[in-house]
Amino acid sequence: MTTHVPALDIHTGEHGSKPNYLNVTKGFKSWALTLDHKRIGLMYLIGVTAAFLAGGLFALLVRLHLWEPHGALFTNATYNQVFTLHGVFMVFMFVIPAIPGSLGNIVLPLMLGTKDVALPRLNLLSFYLWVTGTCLALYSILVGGFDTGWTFYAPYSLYTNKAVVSIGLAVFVLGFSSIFTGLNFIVTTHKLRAPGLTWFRMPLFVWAIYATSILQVLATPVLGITVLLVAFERLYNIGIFDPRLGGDPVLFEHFFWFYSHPAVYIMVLPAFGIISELVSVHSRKPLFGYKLIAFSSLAIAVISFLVWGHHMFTSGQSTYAMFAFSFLTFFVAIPTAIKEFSWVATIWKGSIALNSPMLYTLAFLIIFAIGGLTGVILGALNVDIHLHDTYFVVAHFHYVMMGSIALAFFAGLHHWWPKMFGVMYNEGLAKIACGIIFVGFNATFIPQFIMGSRGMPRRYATYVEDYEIFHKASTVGAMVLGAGVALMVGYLVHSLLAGKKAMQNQWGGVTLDWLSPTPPPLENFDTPPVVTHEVYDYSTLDLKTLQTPVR
Amino acid sequence: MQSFNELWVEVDKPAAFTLQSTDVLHAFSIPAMRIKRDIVPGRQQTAWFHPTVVGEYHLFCAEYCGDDHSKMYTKLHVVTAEDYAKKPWDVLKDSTPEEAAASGENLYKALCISCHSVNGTPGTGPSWKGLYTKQGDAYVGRQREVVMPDGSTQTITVDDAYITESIRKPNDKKVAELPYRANNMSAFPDLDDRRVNCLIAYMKKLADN
Repeated sequence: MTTHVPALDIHTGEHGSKPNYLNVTKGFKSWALTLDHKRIGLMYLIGVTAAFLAGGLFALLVRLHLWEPHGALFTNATYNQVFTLHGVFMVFMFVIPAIPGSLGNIVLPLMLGTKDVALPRLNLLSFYLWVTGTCLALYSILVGGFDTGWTFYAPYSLYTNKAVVSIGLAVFVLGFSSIFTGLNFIVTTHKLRAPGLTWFRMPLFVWAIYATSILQVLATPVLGITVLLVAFERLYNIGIFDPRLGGDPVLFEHFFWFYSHPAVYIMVLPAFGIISELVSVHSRKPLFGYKLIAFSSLAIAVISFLVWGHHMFTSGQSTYAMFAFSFLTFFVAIPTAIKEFSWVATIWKGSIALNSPMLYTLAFLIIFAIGGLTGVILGALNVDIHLHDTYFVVAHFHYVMMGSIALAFFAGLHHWWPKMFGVMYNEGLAKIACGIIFVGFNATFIPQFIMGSRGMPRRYATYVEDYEIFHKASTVGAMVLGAGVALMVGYLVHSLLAGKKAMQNQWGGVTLDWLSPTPPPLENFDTPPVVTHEVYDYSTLDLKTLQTPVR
Repeated sequence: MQSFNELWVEVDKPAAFTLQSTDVLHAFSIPAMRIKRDIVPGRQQTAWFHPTVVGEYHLFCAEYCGDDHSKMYTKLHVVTAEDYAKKPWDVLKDSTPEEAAASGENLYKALCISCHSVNGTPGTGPSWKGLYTKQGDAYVGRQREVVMPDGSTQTITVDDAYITESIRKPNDKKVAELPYRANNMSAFPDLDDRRVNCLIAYMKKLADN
């Protein structure tokens, strides 16, 4: 940098007693009608956490049922509903909105040095669309449930007598929530960056959310149209997907995966963003390969639109198309590996602080390596024929969805918890919980890789006895995982009631989010920040803020 | 060849299949043969494999197809050419009523279970429980109102002849009650008398006292 204005015109610490965003106004309406990005983010956080706990409960029920080869708890029909509930809750109500809706909403405007998102009313609307979609899903459970799996494959979804139309409508509404959030973040990133905050000074969490937002805006409409077509097909028998009317079930798969493959990156890119921030802060070292990580997010966003056919290698699509899809799938590994190696290189020779957010980050790095590499195995056409629709696929995407995305979400939650609430949770318990979650997670899903490679098909309410030992091991692992998550929820809630005060800058971050007062006031910054240095420049760190408790 | 229960192939000889579905997506999956192919209603799919080791293997449905997806299972037998020539699939034990009922139950599981229950629960088709009642040593069929081919309804007594007809030409005299009169059953015109009698023996085992 050539300019020599003071590093950052921001006051931190104990000046004045301005109220923060949590206590500036009180009452139900002040929250329900708030336009403040942080309050909306908190409401999202409560909502997605509830969805996660509900989805987790369904997962534990699934695992308990599979303790016995003939099924321990439910009839087959009920089992099918429970695993569908698990999938729908986790995918549409937790994984997709979790990070952008909660941490993205709270942190992105802070990182950009702005008062709020560009379109605060649209932001509130996004949240209420999420609530509406969730209520529609709950309504669908009450009026008969749904048993199609989260993928709604035709023609089964056209023939089953369950509440497919209303759950389709729920997904449609949740899709709009996602689109509006994406639109809002794109506009905010383009228009509201603080003076001096050039594109290549933006923290990588912002880059990741930006790339996610593009995907949300471009891909989600396809899902919306597809579920509407399913609803119309059920109601009016048009003949789009129903082979009895001349429709093509494989067309549904194309439409569905044209959205749902990019959706995988809608889910995972924000997680990448969190990890990029955390490895830097907790290693107190600038990120290795900043620009490469930023561009790799965009590269992933582009490539993700070209690989949907790898979900359909056994569907009967053209063999030549399968060659192309398999070939293109391998390209995803390049930008993804760039990220993984850059994170590891960032830690290398860093001043590593094994705080609980860093432990969750390290757990992510290990689990994501496994999740990513098994994805390459599945991308190989001939191998996938054998592994498709087996527990190997189940284990692979749980390594990405649960082991990587949910763990990154936990990491981010622990990292920004003191920022959001001004309190600290019990670090000792947090480290223990992270260990339990890591062990429980691997104990759940490693047996699934093994039984999957031996042919165990997914979505089975009962199974042949060859696979019993693996299912039992997996169920035990799931219980450990559940206990770890319960412990985490316990100490986080406890910290809100009786946690000790956090520091102004708990971990020593130098991005703008850590340079606003903690917890931030209503419009974030006491004076609008001006950025004069490169991102992750730890020489600018004001060590005093690490020792100053919040007001 | 129509194989009602399990799949038999010769070792060291490629086996090729044409796959068709009349309802929803299924998938023909034999992990030991590294083969999996979705069966898509409305089109024909093909699959083949080359078995090299004699043995018994799992044959799964790998694409989620509804309530009893995980019951859609059978065995693949890979046998030597000599054993294959003996038609090992063509064994039907029906020398005693008990054996016939047991064979009937196997046939039921292979062919009928997806639409007919045996515990009185209504399905796509009527349950088999209580089609007959046992009176002393004799089995007497229930009275049923059926729809005749000309559309009129008539009350008939269920008997062996009616069951046989209902298997071979099931849509001629459908049970008049809804939803059964609205549903069509796939016909099994090639099911031979011995097998039909096994099914009837199994139904009689399900008789009410």
